[in-house]
Amino acid sequence: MNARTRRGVAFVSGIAAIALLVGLTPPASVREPWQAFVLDLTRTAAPLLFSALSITVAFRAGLFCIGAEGQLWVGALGATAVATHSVPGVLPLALVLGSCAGALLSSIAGELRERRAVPELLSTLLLNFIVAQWVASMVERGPLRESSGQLTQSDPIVDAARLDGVLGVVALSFLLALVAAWGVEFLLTKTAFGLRVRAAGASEPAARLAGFPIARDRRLVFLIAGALAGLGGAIELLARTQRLLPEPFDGEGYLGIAVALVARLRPWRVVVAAIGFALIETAVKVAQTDPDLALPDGFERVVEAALVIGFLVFDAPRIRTWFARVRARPQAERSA
Amino acid sequence: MSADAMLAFLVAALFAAMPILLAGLGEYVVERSGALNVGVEGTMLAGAFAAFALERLGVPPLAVLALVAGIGFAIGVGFGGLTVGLGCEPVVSGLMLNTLALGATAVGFDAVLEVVTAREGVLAASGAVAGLDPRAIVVATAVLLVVVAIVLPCTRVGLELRACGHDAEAARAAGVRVDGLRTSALALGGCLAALAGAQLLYSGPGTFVEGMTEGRGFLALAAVVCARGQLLRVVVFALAFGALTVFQFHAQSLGTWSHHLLLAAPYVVTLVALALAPGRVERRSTRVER
Repeated sequence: MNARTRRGVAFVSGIAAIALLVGLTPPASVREPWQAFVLDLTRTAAPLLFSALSITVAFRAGLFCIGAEGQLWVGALGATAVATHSVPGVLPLALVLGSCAGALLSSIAGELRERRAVPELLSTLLLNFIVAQWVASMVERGPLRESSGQLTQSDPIVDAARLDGVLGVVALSFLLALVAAWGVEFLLTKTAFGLRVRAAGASEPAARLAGFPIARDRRLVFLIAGALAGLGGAIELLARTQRLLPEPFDGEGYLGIAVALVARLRPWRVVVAAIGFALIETAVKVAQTDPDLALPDGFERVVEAALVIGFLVFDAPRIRTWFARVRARPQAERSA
Repeated sequence: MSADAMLAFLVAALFAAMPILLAGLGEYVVERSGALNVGVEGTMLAGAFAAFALERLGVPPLAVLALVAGIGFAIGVGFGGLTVGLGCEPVVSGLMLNTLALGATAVGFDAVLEVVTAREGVLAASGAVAGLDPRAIVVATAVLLVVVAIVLPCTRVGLELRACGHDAEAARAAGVRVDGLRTSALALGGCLAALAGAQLLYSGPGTFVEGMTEGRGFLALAAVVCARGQLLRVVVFALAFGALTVFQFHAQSLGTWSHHLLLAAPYVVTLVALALAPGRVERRSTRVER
């Protein structure tokens, strides 16, 4: 089987799997446990997928942005600002505002890098902390505090802005994330911009010699990465929590980095990795609600970190060359 | 503000700056060697928890400090083994170190409380930690600062370490053991970060709180990157962050300022300082070697 047929088979079977899942439309009232599990799984995977795609775009361009977390937060904030009011076209407006908020936040880091040579690693990290306080203040004292003023959260979003649809047993938010994954794949592999970006990420001097407009492309990458994570934040808010809480996310943006790296920065593999991470997260959550096991609070973080570190070790350059040598040895013996 | 109040403020700022300065000092050496440990925050948290747990389990204070330093050393060596030895992605390794520390200390905290409560009752488990005098740690930090300020520019090992950071290939060609030096620097950084966590525990609420470092490790990291290779600037930044923390407490008690605005202030200040600091940042310090 050559690469092309393999890709074709993978594509067709992927579509078939999705169609199968979508087609298994259960009545809303009667849901099998596995159907609820798949729904929960896809819901959990969606924000991870968005943040991992954002990271993928940035890392492929050679930018070490770790700002997906903050961008998710402002995306949710931007979406809430619109979605709590019943205005015409509230849903698309909320999504657009969420993405714009993410893009704007990311472009702060972009401008700081291009103009003042501030490392994006640090600026995005700092922006995450600043945004966390900003979002919390908006619902505690700011204009987004719920109108009854009792709890530190925003008003619920209006019904027209809800995005909690389910196609079969797959959450709509996850399908939107799949579309985004396709978009990123297309952008990176099928456009001139994608080629320039990947070239700049692989070797900046080479891209410079080729006369690519590196600074302009990078600014655009910052915007796209921010918009992706911002969109993810907006979708998660409209689909799941449906009102802004003081801490709308719990490290999904950071976990997205691990997801993207596990997938070696390939958008379709990112989809698989996001589902894998969501699977672990859902399983741990199920285990944590089990009173017999009595798992302590920070358990899921330990599992998560141990898994990622385990993968990092497995994927480390020196371990990889060792594997390659072990695999090559029997062949060498055979030929001898 | 009267002279007394001013003095009290300065002293408080000095104490508040110590954990950041201590962790920053370690990270400065790491940064000079050409590595960067994003996991300072997690190491600090692990140090704070270890100091708490060991004290609760009846270990004498000086032994606690030694063990905490040992744990930090082990974390640093582990991180060095991952990133320098095996060549794992350092930023993600550091972030995962933070996640691991956050989770593991929460799990461990529950376990320690359970053990101590079973043995001595609730009061013993939740009481304040009897630690070292924070003044001793200020003095120790000052001494360490002087040692680093002398060793890095004036000794052979300091020169080799800086050579690793400046141009690893050239250093390697000149016979410097780059990987070994970087791992040693990371071990020292881990040691100091863990001790900084212990200092935070002693000078702070008197008991361990989940996630009690509250981004101070990241501030230490930011102080080092902002300093652009100058030790004096690390000190200035750390002191400024300390002053800001104390100012936060004062302003909060007055209630005129938004609590969140004050909590965000150190990060905003750092970002502005990064943007305004003269001279270009050396990209090398954050670049990942593949």
